[in-house]
Amino acid sequence: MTGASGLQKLWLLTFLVATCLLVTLLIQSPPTINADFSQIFYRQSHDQQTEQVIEQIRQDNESSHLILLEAKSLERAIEQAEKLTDTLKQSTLLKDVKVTFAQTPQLEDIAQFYAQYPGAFLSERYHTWLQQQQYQAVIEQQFAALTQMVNPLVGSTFTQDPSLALADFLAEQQASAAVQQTVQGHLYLTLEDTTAVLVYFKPDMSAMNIQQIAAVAEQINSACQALSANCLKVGQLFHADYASQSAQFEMMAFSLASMLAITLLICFAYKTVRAYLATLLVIAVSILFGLLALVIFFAEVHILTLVFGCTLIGISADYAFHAMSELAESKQQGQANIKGIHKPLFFGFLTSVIGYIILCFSPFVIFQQVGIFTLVGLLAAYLTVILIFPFRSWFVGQVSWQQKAWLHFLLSGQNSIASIKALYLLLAVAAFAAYVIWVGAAFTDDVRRFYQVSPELAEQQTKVARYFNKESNKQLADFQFYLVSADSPQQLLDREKQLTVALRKLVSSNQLSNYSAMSDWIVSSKAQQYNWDLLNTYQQTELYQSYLQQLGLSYQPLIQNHKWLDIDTWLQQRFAASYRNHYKVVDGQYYSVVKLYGIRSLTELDNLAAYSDNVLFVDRASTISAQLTQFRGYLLKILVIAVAIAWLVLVVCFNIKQATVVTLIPIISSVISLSISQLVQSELTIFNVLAVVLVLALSFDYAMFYLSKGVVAKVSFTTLISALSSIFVFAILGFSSTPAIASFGLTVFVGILCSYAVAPLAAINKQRDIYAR
Amino acid sequence: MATAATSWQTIDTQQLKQSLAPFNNFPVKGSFVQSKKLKFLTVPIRSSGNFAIDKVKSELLWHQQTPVEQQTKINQQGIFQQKQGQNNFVKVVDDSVISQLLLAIFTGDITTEDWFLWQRNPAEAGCIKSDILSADLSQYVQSIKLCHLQNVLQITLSENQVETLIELTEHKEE
Repeated sequence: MTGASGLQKLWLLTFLVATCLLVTLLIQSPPTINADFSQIFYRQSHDQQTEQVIEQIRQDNESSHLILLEAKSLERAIEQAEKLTDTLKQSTLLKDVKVTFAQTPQLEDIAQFYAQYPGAFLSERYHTWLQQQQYQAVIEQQFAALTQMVNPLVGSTFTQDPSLALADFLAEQQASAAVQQTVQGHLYLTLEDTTAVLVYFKPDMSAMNIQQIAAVAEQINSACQALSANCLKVGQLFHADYASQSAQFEMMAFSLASMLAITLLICFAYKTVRAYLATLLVIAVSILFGLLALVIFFAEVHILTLVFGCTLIGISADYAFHAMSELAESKQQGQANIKGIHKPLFFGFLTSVIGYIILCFSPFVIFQQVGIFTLVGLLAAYLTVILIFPFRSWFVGQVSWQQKAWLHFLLSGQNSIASIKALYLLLAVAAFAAYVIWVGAAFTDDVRRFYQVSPELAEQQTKVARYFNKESNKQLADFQFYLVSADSPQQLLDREKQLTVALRKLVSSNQLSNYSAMSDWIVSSKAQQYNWDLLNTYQQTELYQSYLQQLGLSYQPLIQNHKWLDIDTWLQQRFAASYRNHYKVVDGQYYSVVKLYGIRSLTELDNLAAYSDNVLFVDRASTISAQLTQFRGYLLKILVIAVAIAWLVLVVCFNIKQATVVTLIPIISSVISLSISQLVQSELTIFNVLAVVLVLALSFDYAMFYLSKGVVAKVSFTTLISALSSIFVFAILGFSSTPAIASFGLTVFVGILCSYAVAPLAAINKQRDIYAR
Repeated sequence: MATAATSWQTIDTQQLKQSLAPFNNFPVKGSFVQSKKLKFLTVPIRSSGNFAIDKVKSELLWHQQTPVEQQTKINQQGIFQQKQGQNNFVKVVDDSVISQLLLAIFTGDITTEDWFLWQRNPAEAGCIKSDILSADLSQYVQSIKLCHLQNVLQITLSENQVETLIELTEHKEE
């Protein structure tokens, strides 16, 4: 034992400063933990202003929450909804809690409002007939409407418009659907033999951390449990709470399982408390520095980063195991140090650094966070092992592999792998695995399949949609809409109208269930004037005069409007309330949203937007999926380049034959792990490819020890302990409820298993004295 | 008039059963004459044609022949129309509540629905009437009157500003 060197003092100083800094940062400006899975892969893909509008729309969408209180009778549903509202109003984090609503518009009100603008609004068919002077068709439609068994629009509009153009316009808009049922202001819906009353609220999601989200969700859940009505909840808060609860549980479970596995392995391998403490030190230091890096570089950390981060425990413990084995053996030889493993440890660390640096440069924040956290954590673990372990032989465990019969058996097996024959055999297996991937590889980068939505919440959402009379195949598309932009409101309405004409064709060809656009309810002043001219011309025809005579009416000239209906006036109407979030004005530019229902052909929708610079098809999920596909392509190319660079470095440091064999080990392991993942999952995702980064890094790590030392007891023993700790961690990840994590865990698990089995190949031409140093 | 209006009395379950008996056996096939009175028109708008009711499929086919030819199909999913020269029925009313109301009337299944509060008036024998209690439905129809007069069944639907009288005559098989 010697006194501390300058480097060791520096390490200690850095450790203390880092600890203080982390504590200070966590107290003063703790990072926000984000549990919103829809935001996990998001990155900007439009100009700043458009992104700003899209973000506003997203926040509008996510801020509205509702709970339907479902009961057998309306009275019970109202009573329970009021009880729940009282509870919700107590929360300072929930705004606009409402159970009663202002008088909802009646069909009569809508008709009377439009009657103020005579002739300005025509249905699509009236417009066509009048434009093409097919007046007979208009007359037939008038009589058809007048004789229809029930048609409330005729009664509501006939006095102002005997031509029934307004009635037909309102019928086309399904104006009756805008009318909602209320009892004393309570909005209620019926489904089969149950009635549901609506409670609305807006949580301030941006101001809430995951603890507050959990607290509010818990408060609502408890309140619901105390009610004698069924709560059907819809809103981002509930999804975020489920995601965060699930991720927190997994993070805790994976960390505990990793620590338990490492404890058992140390008990089995090193048998001392000191060895356990030494391993804990390495793990603690790596986590501390990893967290510090996260806090410094990111203001918001996704909870999934922390779940992935659990893998740092297993990887950093590897360094401790190698160092402890080396220390134990070198001590038996007179001087406790780890000089003998400097080279393989460094190369192992280097390959991991290359792997995680690739992640740091990914375009997605989640991968950057995992990359930075693990990279800095591993650097800290590496330096701790290199600088601190040799400082005190106190760290040395009691390890003796000479007497272990199982190890002897294992070494015999590994020796047979370290042969040309095995190399050819493994190459053949890898070639077959590559063939399996080539033939069956179905890469899926659909971001919606990377996380699991609570089945209970999904079921409730479907039922709520049924209450709102929306069949499952006609539901509002998941953040897929058109964004139309213009320099003036009039231009905006004209552009939106052009788009809806094309959308109607898609609806009639069944490629889209429906759409919702304000230009169906309001057209530009120019279009309103044009409609008026068309109707006025028709009303002066003999055919129309004869229609009036048949009804016993006299001709009244169509009133000339003094002003046309504008967007602001229209949006103030209660029946237009649901369109208020469709219209945005940002920095003098006007935007409108066209919502889409039951999309069946994305290509067609994409093509429609391609015709105009002012119409953007916003499809965040598909955009992210496309970006992930692109990133996967880049990643695969970078991996190939990284492996080639590693081969070149090895050629310089060793020789071409050794370099080639060592490089083949991670390649074989990666190909086999990908093919098995393909067989198990029946598809591959970006997470399987990301897992390959880790498989390559760990494979190189194991191979380097066999290359440096050959198939010897110490290397075989330590590599086994290292592999077991990692295998255990990643096998647990494979059970994650989040498909992304499960895919990642599966590939790394199989990859490490293969790496451990194949790694002795690196010892071809090495000594076969299994007990040699 | 005021006396007649006040003499409509709510009927109990037993009376309702008796009063509804003729309407439970609506004709399944026949002709109709419809007369629509709009508040601001001096002449009612008349239409006529044939109808057929499929009680098993719960579907009403309404074939209007005058003044314009038009076929209407009413089922649990909504109201569909087929114009002359067209091949397909097109949904014209998406709200299925109104179609359910019309089907309930035409199939005679009007006892179970809690939309009604049936009343009868001794001065109008063979007639019962009900206001529509559902707020959702009352935007279409505010009240219904059913009368059973010898071989004719009369349905009167009162809407906002409109009163529709439908007379159904059964087609007897020769």
